[in-house]
Amino acid sequence: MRFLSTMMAAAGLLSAAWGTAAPASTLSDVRDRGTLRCGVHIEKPGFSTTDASGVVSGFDIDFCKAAAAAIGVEPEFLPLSPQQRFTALTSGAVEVLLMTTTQTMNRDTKLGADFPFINFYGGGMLMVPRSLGVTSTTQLDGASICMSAGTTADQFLADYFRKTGQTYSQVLFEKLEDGFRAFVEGRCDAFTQDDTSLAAMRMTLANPDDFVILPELLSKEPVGAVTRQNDSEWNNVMTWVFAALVNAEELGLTQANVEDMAATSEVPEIQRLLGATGTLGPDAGLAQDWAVRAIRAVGNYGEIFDRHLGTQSRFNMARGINDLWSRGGLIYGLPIR
Amino acid sequence: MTAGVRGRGQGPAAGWHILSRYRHHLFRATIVLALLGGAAAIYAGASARLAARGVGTGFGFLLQEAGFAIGETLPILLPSDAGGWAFVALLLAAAGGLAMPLLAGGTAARRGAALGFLALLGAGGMAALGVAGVALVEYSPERSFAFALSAGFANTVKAGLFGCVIATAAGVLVGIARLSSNWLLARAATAFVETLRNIPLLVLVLFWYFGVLRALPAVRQSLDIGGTVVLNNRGVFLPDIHATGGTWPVILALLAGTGLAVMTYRRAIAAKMATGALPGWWAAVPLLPVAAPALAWALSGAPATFSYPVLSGFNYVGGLRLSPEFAALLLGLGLYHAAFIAEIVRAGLQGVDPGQRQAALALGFREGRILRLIVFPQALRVMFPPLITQYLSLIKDSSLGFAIAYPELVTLNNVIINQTGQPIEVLLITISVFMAFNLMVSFILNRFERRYAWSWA
Repeated sequence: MRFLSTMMAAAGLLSAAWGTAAPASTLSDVRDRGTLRCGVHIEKPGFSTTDASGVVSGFDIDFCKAAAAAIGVEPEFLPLSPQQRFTALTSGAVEVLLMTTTQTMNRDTKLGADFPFINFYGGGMLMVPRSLGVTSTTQLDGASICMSAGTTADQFLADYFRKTGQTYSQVLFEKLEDGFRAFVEGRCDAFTQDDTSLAAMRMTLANPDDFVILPELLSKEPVGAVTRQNDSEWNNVMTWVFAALVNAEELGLTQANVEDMAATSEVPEIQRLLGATGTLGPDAGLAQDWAVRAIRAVGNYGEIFDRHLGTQSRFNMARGINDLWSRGGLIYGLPIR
Repeated sequence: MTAGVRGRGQGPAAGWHILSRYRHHLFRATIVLALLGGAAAIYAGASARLAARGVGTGFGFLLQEAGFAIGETLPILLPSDAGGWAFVALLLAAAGGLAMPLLAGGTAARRGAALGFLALLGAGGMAALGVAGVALVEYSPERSFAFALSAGFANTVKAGLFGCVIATAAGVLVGIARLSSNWLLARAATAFVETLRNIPLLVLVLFWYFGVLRALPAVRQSLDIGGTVVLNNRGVFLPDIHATGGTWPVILALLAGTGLAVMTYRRAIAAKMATGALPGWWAAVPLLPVAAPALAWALSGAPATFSYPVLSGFNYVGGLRLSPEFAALLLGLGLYHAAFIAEIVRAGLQGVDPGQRQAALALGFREGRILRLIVFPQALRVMFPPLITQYLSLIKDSSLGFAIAYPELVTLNNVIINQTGQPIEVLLITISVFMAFNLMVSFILNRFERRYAWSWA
C-alpha cells in the first residue's frame, strides 16, 4: 500500500519535474488559492490526530493553522507517510511539511528542502518490558529491537550500538502500529521511537506499568517545518510566524488577551509585533495584523504545547528542553524588529 | 517478408536479401532501443529539473555507507579485487554456457555431462573461495546502499524459491485430492482451495504473522526439544553445521559425488534402454552423494563442528534460525498459491482424455501408476504455462514481506528512499531487479517446458 503510494508520489515527482518550472511566488499562489496545504502525519498522538468526527488536531496542526491565519487563508491538511513527504513537498502537492521532520545536514543539502524553524526538540529512546529487568541502554547487547520505517531510528540505533560495542537485531515494520504490536506481543526485547511518541504509545496500553522507557537519549531529533529550497519569501513567512508565536510567549501574549494588547499595549516590542507600529508585516508580504491573527488562532508557543502535549493534554509532558530559553530551554524567539 | 520468400537471384541484390532475412531482428532492436532511449530521455529530463531545484539525483548514493541494520541477511558472494570480479564473471559465464544444453535439449549423454560439469564447476567455485579474492560476506551497517539492496534481493529470492517449493508440493497434493473418489478428502481439498484463494494475500500474511507470534511461547518459556530444536516467538532454532576451514573438502566431495551420481544414473538408464536390464553398478547412484562426503570427512580428520541453540542473554544464539517473519511469509505465500496451483493441477488432470485412464485400467495398471505414468505426464503440458505464471506472481508477492518486517527488496527499497530521498532512482532499481529476475525465471521455465513437457510430442 505504502509502496503503491510511494510509486504514485514518485510518478508525481517525475511529472512535476518534467512539467513547468517552480511557481514564481508560493505566497501569492497560496493567497490566490485561498488555502495553505500542510503535509501532516496520518496519525501521531499529540502531534497530529483525527478524532471520530474527522476533525484534525495536534501540536503540528496548530502551527499550520497559525501560518494560514497570518497569511489570511484556510489551512488544509494532507496526511502523508514519512516516505512520501519529501516527494510531496518537491512535487508541489503541499507548501510546507509539519510532521516532526528531523533537520539533518543530508536532508537540508540533498533533498531540495529548507528548514525554516524547529518547533520541537526530541530524541530517540527505547522502551522495554519491565519484566526484562533492564535499566539502561548499555545492557542491551544481543537484544532484538522493533521499529517502524520512515524515521531516522534505523540509523541512530546502528550508530549507538556500534558506539557502545553492542550487537542487536532489528525488526523493521512498515507501520508504526504493527511494530508496536509485535513488541507488545513479545517479538522484540525493545521498541524504539522518539521520546514523545513512546510516552504517548505507552499510555495507550492497558497495562502501561508493565513497560518502562529507558532514560538514555540515543539521538538528537530537532523537528520542525520543511519548505522547498530557494523560496526565500516563503521561508521568511514561515520563520517569522514561528518567531511571533515564541515572542508572544516571552511577552505574555495569549489567545485570550492578544486583541486587547494590540489595542492598548504601550510596550514597544508588543506594538511592533502586533503591528501597532512599523511595517514589519507588509515588508514580509503579510497584513499589518499578521501576528494578531496567528496568535488569535492558536495562542502562543506555550499554549500550543500545553494544549496538545503538556499539562492540558492526557500526556502531561513537562516542557523540558522545549521550554523558553529564559527558563533553561531551547525555545528562543528571534527578535521581531 | 515478400523479399524473403523470393528465391535467391530473383529479387534485389544479395545485400538486400541478407537484410530482409534479418529485417525482423532489426525492427525489434529499433523498437527496444527507442523504448530504452525514451526512458533514458525522461530520466535525464527529470533529473536535470530536480537538480535545478536542489534535489539530489543520480546513482552515486549506491556506494555510500548505508548506516542501518537489516534484521536477517544471507551472506553474499562478494569479490574483493579485480581478480575476484573476473573470477565470478568467468564462473557465471561458464555456468550459463553449460546450463544451455540442459535447457535446450540435446542427447541424454550431453545433458548428463553438462550436469556433471556444472557440479564440478560449483565445487571449483567453492574451492576458489579459499584462494581468490572472493568471499561470502554478511551485510552490516558499514556496507553500502548497493549491498543493502542486494541483501534485500537475496531475501526476496529466498522467500520466492522456498515459497514455490511449498506451493508446488501442497498444490499438487490438493489438486489430486480434489479429484479423489474419497468424499471427505475431495471436500477437504475443495474447502482448502475456496478458503485460501478468496482471502487477500496481505490479510493472510498478517494473520499468519500475528497468529504465529501469539501461538509461540516467549523466550523464557521456549519449547525445547532435547536441546536441539527450540521454538519460541523469536523463531525456530535448529542445529547447524559450522563451515570451518576443514569442512570445505566435505562440501566439495558432496558436490562432486552428486555430479558423479547423475552421470552414473544417465549411463545406467541408457544401459537399461539398450539391454533391458539395469546393470549392477546402478546401486552406486544413491551411495555416491553420501559416500563421497563421508570419505572426505573421515580423511580430513572429522573436523566439522555442530552448533546448537543455547539461551544466552536475551535470546537463543547459535544454531540455524528461522525467523517468525520468514516463516509467516512462507506459509502465507506457499498456501495461498497452493490453492491456485491445485486448480491448475485439477484442470490439467481433467484435460486428459478419460479414455487414457480407461485404456490403462484395461491393461491392468493400478490407479497410482496410471496417475504417475499416464495421466500426469500428459496433464503437465496443460499445466505448465499457467504454472509458470503462478510462480512469477508468487515471486512478486514476496514483496508483501514489507508488511510483516521481513527485510526483502521492497522493504529495503522503502528504507533507502526514506534515507536518500531519491525515489526515482531507487524505484528504477527495484523495478529493474524484479523484472530481470522474473524474466530470467520465465526464460528458464519456458525452456524447461519446451524440453520436458513436449519431449514426447
